[in-house]
Amino acid sequence: MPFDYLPVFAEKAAGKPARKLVHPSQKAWHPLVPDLASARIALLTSSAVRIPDQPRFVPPEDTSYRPIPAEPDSTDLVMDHRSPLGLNPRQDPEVVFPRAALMSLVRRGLIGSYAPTHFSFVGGTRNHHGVEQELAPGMAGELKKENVNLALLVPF
Amino acid sequence: MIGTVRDIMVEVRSPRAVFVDYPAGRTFGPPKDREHHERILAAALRELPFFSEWGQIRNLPFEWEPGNQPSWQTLREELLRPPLSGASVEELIRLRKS
Repeated sequence: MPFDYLPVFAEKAAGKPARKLVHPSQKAWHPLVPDLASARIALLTSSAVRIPDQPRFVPPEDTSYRPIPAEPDSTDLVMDHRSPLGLNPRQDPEVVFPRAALMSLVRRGLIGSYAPTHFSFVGGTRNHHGVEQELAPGMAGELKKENVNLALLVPF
Repeated sequence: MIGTVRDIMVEVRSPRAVFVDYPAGRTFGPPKDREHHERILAAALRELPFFSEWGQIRNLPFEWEPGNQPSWQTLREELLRPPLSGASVEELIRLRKS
């Protein structure tokens, strides 16, 4: 039986406005997925990781995003997400943003290639309009430029 | 999408979702266990051909092992803690060496 998070979030938010879960205004569905061997994959993380010289995220309403190099050794990441669950990801961002694992699967031939850039943003925002109107279209445009045909979102 | 918070995944559907029954914030397993991260990622991607319509959630067959932190018993306490502050680069370096 999976752990129920919503009652704990409600308990934590006691006295504050209740968390509002919002459905996407349009169902996004493409019937075809590429064979993994020909897929070009990018990762999307809502953990608000960034490279140190990029501008800080300002949780929780920030709907900007940061491009993150796909090579995990190329930079050290900092994390602006304030969730108390953030200790493990701060110790090892790979637990929510598996750049090294993705590279390894490409080397082993399971996946065709990885995009040169992945993308990071702030999860848990209540600015749902901004997510649909700014954040998602912005990242989608970047993915298109990089010829990505498979994007994997890892919510935090 | 690959997620750990099933009750939110059910409410906020995505085109194709894979659920891994690990504590939130550890989607790909314990820190610094690269082989484990790779196994989870590969399993998630291998589910892709089996989605037939929008909004489905498929389960991965992994279990959080006893001894890994946090335990399911302590996850609630962890969730109720105050928000973390922004970590400095120095703090992160110390954490990653620990």
